This record gives sequence, C-alpha cells and structure tokens, in this order.
Amino acid sequence: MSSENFTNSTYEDFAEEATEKITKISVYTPLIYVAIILTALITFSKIYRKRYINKLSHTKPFFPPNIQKQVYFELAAQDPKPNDKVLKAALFRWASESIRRTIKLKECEQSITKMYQAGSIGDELFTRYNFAKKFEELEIQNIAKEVEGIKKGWAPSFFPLLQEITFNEALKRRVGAIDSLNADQAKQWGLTKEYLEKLVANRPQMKIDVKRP
Amino acid sequence: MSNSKYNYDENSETWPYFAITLVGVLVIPSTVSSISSLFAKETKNTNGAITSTFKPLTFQLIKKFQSKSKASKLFNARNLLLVIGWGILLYLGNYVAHKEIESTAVLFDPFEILGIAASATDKEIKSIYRKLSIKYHPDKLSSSLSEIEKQKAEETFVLINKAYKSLTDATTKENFLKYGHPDGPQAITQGIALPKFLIESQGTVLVLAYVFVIAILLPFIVRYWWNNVKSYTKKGIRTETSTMFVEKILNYKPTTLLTPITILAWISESEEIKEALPKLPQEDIVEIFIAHCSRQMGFLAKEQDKLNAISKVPVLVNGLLDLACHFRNSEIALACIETLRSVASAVPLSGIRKQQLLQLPNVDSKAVEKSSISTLGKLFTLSEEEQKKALGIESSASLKEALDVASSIPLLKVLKAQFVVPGEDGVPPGSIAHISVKVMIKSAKHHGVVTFRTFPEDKFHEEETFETLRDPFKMLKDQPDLPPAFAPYFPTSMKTQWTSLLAIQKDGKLVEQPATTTNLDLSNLKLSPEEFKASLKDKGKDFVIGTIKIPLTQPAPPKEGNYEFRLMIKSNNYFGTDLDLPLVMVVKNPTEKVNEKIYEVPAPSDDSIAGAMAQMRGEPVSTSGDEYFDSEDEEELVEADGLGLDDEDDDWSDIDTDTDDEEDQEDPKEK
Repeated sequence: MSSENFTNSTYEDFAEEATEKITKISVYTPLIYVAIILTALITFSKIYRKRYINKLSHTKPFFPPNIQKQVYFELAAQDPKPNDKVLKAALFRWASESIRRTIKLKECEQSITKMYQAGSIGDELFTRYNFAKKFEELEIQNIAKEVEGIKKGWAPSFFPLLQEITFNEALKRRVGAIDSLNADQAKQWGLTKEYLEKLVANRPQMKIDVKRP
Repeated sequence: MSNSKYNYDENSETWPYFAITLVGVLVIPSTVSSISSLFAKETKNTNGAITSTFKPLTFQLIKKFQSKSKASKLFNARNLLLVIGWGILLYLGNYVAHKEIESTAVLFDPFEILGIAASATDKEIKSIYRKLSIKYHPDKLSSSLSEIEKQKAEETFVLINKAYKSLTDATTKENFLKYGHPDGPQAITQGIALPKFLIESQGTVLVLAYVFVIAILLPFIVRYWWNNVKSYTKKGIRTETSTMFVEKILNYKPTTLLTPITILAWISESEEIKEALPKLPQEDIVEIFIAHCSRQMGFLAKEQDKLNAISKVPVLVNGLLDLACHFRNSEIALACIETLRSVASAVPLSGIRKQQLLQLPNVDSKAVEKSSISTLGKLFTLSEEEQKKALGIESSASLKEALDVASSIPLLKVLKAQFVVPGEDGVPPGSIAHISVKVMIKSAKHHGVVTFRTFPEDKFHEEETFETLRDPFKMLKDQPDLPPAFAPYFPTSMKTQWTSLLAIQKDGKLVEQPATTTNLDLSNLKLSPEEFKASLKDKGKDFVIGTIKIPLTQPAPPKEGNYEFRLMIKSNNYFGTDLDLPLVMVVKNPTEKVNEKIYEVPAPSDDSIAGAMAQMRGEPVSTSGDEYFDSEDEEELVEADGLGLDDEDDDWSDIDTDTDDEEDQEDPKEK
C-alpha cells in the first residue's frame, strides 16, 4: 500500500514542476546559437591554416642553397646573353645537383620513415623531409621546362646524360679524396715515416711450422 | 521523505573518504616510484666491479658534482608536490579519525540492549527483562549513587522497557529479524558525497570549478605533457638535436675521415650541450671534450659546468648511434662507440694504437706513446721495471693500482658463434633467427689460449625446453647484471655494457639496430693465473662461459644460400675487449630425414682436397658453416669445423683486434 502512495505522490510532484518550469524562448535563440558556433569554428580554422602555412614557409630547407641554380638564373638574366654553351653547362650543373639531392632523398626514404615510426625523430623533421621531396620533384619539372625552352625535344636525351654526369661527378669526388683520406688515416693512426720504417725493420721472421701437414 | 531530493553530505561523513582515495591514488604510486628511483643505484650488483683506490685529480670536483645531482634528485618540484600530497592525506586521515566518533548515529537494537542473541526464545527474553528491570528500576536503586548515575540508570531502564515491548510484539520482532528495523523494510536513501553548499549555492562554485578543470586545466596539462613528449625522442635526446644529427649524417661525405673528434664536434652543437655550456663557441666546447679525454683540466669554463656537459655525452652519443644505425652507416656507428669509451675512460683521442694502456689510471701518456707495447696482455708479460717504464709510472703503489685495473678489465674471447632458430637445426628460409655467441671472459693476466676445444662438447649444448622456445632470450637474464664500469674521470656512474652491431660483409652496411649486453658473469676474472692454468688443463672446469644473444628483427632471406655477416661486439667502456668476427648464415630448407639418405654419396668434407675442388665448382660441401669457432693458430684452423670461413678470417685479419699472439707468448720468467 505505502509504496503505491509513494509513486503516486512523486508523479504528481513531477507534473507540478513541469507545468511550472515552461519558459518561452525566442525563435532567434537557436539561430544565434548556430551562428556563434559556426563563426567560432570558421575563425579557428582560418587562423589555424594561416599559422600552418606560415610555419611551412618558415621551415628550414633540408639542403644548403643550390648555388648552381642561382648561377644559371643569373647567367640567363644577363643582358647580352652569354654563349649558348655556357648557359647549357650551367643548366647541367644545376640539374645534376638537383638529381644528386633527389637520389639522396630517395636513398634515405626508408631510414627516415623507420626512424619516424620508432620515435627517433620529431614531427618537424618528417614534414621537412616530405617537403624537400616534393620540392625536388617540382625542381625536376622546372628543369624539364627550362630544357625544353632552350631546345625543343631535348628532354628525353637530357636526363640520361644528366645521370651520367652526376655519377661521374660522384666518382671523381671519391677518387679525388683518396689521397687526402690516406693522409688523414696515417695521421690518425700515427703512421709516421719513422714508425713505418721501424715496423719494417722489426718485422718478425716468418716461422715455418714443420708439423703442418 | 521524497525521492526527488538527495541527501547532501552535511556532516562530512563520506567526502573525506572520497578525497583520501583520490589523493592516495595519485600520491602513493608516485612516492613508491620516487623512492625506488632514489635507491635504484645502491642496490646494484657489484660482483666483478673494479674497486680501485685510485683518485683522479678531478676527484673532489666529481664528488661535488655527484652530490649536487643527488640533491637535485631529492629537492625537485615533483617531490615538493609529493610532500604537499602527503600533507593533505595526513590532514584528511586525521580529520576522518576524529570525525568518526562524533558522527556515530545511535541505533536502536533491542537485542543488544537486553544483551541476548537474536535467536532467544520468548521465555528467555522475559527472564532477562525481569532481571534487568529489577537492577535498573528507579525505585530499587541504591541511595549511594550520584545524581548523574541515577539519571543514567533511569535512561537504561526506559530503553530496556522499550526493547522488551518491541520484542514481545510479534510483528515488530519479525521486522527486526528480517529487516533490522521495527517498521519493516526501509527505503534506500541516495546521497551525494559532497557538502550542500557546493551544489545548492546556485551551483556557481561547482560549475566554475568544473569549467576550470575541464576547459582550462585539462587541456593545459595535456598540452604540456604532449609538448614534453614531442620535444624528446624515444632515445631521450631533444628532437632539435636529433634533427641536427640527421642533417649531419645526411650531409656527411664519405670522402672525409670520420674520427671521434668529428662526433664530438657534432655533439657540441646539440641543444643539451649548449645549455650546459652557454656562451661558449663550438670550437671551445670541442676543446673541453678533448681536454677531458687527455685528462687535463682548468680552462675555458667552470669545472662543474664542464662535468655537467660531459655527463650528457653518453645519452647524446647513444642517440646518434641509433640514428646512424637507422641509416645503416657503420663508420658513424663505430666512431660513436669509440667516442663513448674515450669519454668514459678519458683516453686521448689521438693515441689510437695505445688506447688499451692509456685507459689505465696513473699512466703517463708520453711514456706510453714511446713504449713498444700496446696491449694489456703484453703488459703482463713484462717485469715490474719494464712495466713501470712502459706506463711511465714511478711508484710501486701507483703501478699496482694500474695493474689491478688492467687485470680486472674483462676481455672477451669467442668460443662459438652461430645463427640459431629456436626449434630448428639450421636456418630455414624466412625464419626469425638470433645470433648466439658463447664467450670466454678472461683477464689480461691469464695466459693461455681458451678455445672451443678446451671444453667438453656438452658444455655448449643448450637444452631446448618449452620456455626457451617461447623466449630464447630469457636465459640471458639468468646471468648476473654487469657491475658499474670503472670510469673515475667520468662525472656520473656508468654501466658496463657491450654494444653489438651486425653488418653485411658485401657493402659494410648495418642490418640491425644496436643490441646491448647488460648481463654477463664476470667471475672468471677472480681466478688467479695459476688457477686459470689448472682449469685450462682440466677441460675448463672452473671457467664460466658467457652467452651473448643478439635478436634479429628481420627474417632470414627467402632464398637458400650463404649470407655473410660481420658481427662487432664493442665495449662501451673499455678498450681491448672488442670482438669482431665473420659469421655466415646458411639458409637451408630443413631436410627430411628419410632412409634413402643412407645411400647418398656424402658431400666431400671441405677440409679435404675434394672438398676444396667442390667448393671451387660451387658444389655443396659439408660444413656447419653458420658457426664460427675461435681459431687461434693454423693447426686449430684445420681441425675446426667452421671451415667455410677460412677466407673470411684472412680477409678480416686486418680489422681483427685480437691480441692473442702477444698474449700467448709465454712469460719468460716462468720458464
């Protein structure tokens, strides 16, 4: 009995409260609400994007400035145009530097991704790397355009040639460094002339093992 | 009572418990972790640690630096917060303890008042009631009692009456027995464990607090935490520093010689070092490092700042090592380890051939450079006078200090090295293998060659149980922890560690991230030279064989064939204890053992001429080729099973740091 009374009374309580609490709202209230939320979101996204682009434009480049590129454009802009051969040579230099960078970026692509996954490098470097990769892709396209500008239909034979130039340069650098590397190694290990002579003089005589079958 | 209203915790009965739980959950675990980190170092294993009376010139400064860093470990913001937390906890505990007495509500329990069990019969109740009512009846109280006592007795009498009445009424008694209340079942009351004023004062306080926590504090904390996480890499170096290292590695020209000085120059550009030594140009910082390695002091910056910078080097070098291994660059990786131990034991970066001697205390670098010996093993073959001359030491006490250290440096000798796939005989294609290296740890004073053949065959046999199949690296943990390293010039304590690098022979590129060895049994070092000799003759009775296992993350190649690797096990602390060995992974499909095999002509063994011919023709020869045995001289080479390796052995002899030929020379005095 008592429990029934109890529920009845609460129901009545609620009914009373409900009739009391109705307040009228203007039609504009939801509209204003939506408008405020939308403007807030739009401003946020605008500011965010602006900042992001600003940040991207300030990212440090991956490689030092490409001097060969500057040389090419300075030559191309000179008023009495330099000899065609000079211009072509400058273009080759620029392009070979660009190719070298592309190869380097491709080489380390796997390492960078792995490092990023392992948490060994930060987000910033990873974005910079992707940026550099895009940049070099665009650079190659620019070069292709430039090549076509100098001579139509040159591009197909230009790039294989370019690759050979790049590899040749790399080989030259390595061969050229052998002597200085040698000297550095000798210095590092303390291999002076006197030391080597002493070593030769003290060389142990080869023992011939009779027991050996 | 209406259900639409809640009870508030007006008397503070519950919410202190809630608060205690909340604070306790935060404070207690962090206190435990703080305390354990404070005492972590003291409880380390020191078995085999080098104890020396040697004190470097900078000893006082280093002691000061260590006590300072210990103090900063004790007095920091985190511990301050912990103390505050404990204060709150104690206050609440105290509050609750006192509150409890006041708030005990008196409940009416007729059974307790009459002092009977709930199962008592009506008769028992009646008799007890009679006895008690006689005792407490106001008319029957003795006149000697005071007013207060009389009043108390009267109250008790009323209670007894009440209890008796409630128990003699059938329904009330039943209600008591069933629900513990004379009126039958009670409505369940729900309450909020918060005092009323927090909620009912128009709710502003709570709402404001809520908004503050959710909208301001929480995002702030998350941002702070995330920025902290983001600004450090997994290896504990700053992201700016790791970016700088990556740039250095990318722009590193293989046409220039890479030396530890280059590594130090890179490190000196890091944010961490710049912070420790502000306002110093990079060249000066490198100078400071070089001076530390040459055991000199006293210029360019405050000593404490310098020690702080030097103490940061290992973390930075390890970060660089990790990156170099990701780039698979073995030159940089090796230079990193070289730098690490040069800094640890303060060994000059220029005297590359004499590092083993220069790492000892009390030595004079000029005398060492002049002397003709360069290894620890050779040092112990000399007479005392010659030793003094070679190390540039004058007093016998100093020489003893140096020799004590020299004889306690653990040298590694490979006994057996092979690729192992748990549960398989060989290495099937595409399987996940690991490298198992059996090493003999010996001191430089031990003369005599320990090889695979010294021991009985079964000493190398590892039983394959379910446990080892599941986790083949678990047995490494059964070996004792390596003790702290002997590095008197280094400002903080250092662990003894070996770093393993695995490279491909063909192009010298690294294949795996570096693996560190932190567990090895160094008890062989305690053997005297005589005990060592005796044990050597007696099948290595007293020798403990160490095991180093290196996990491979990449699966074995999918095609059958021989794949050649170079395994470098380098000490992070000492010179002269490195291993550098060729290893061949023979990838082979497991052969099914069928009876037909008996009739097959066995492939010629490759130590025969037929074998050599077959090998030249590229035919299979029977080798257990993925194993490497340490072979000391020509004779043993012929005997050893791992003969597919002779060629590699020769190829790599120029990089082999083995010094055995010198050590094996018998002590002239002994004869």
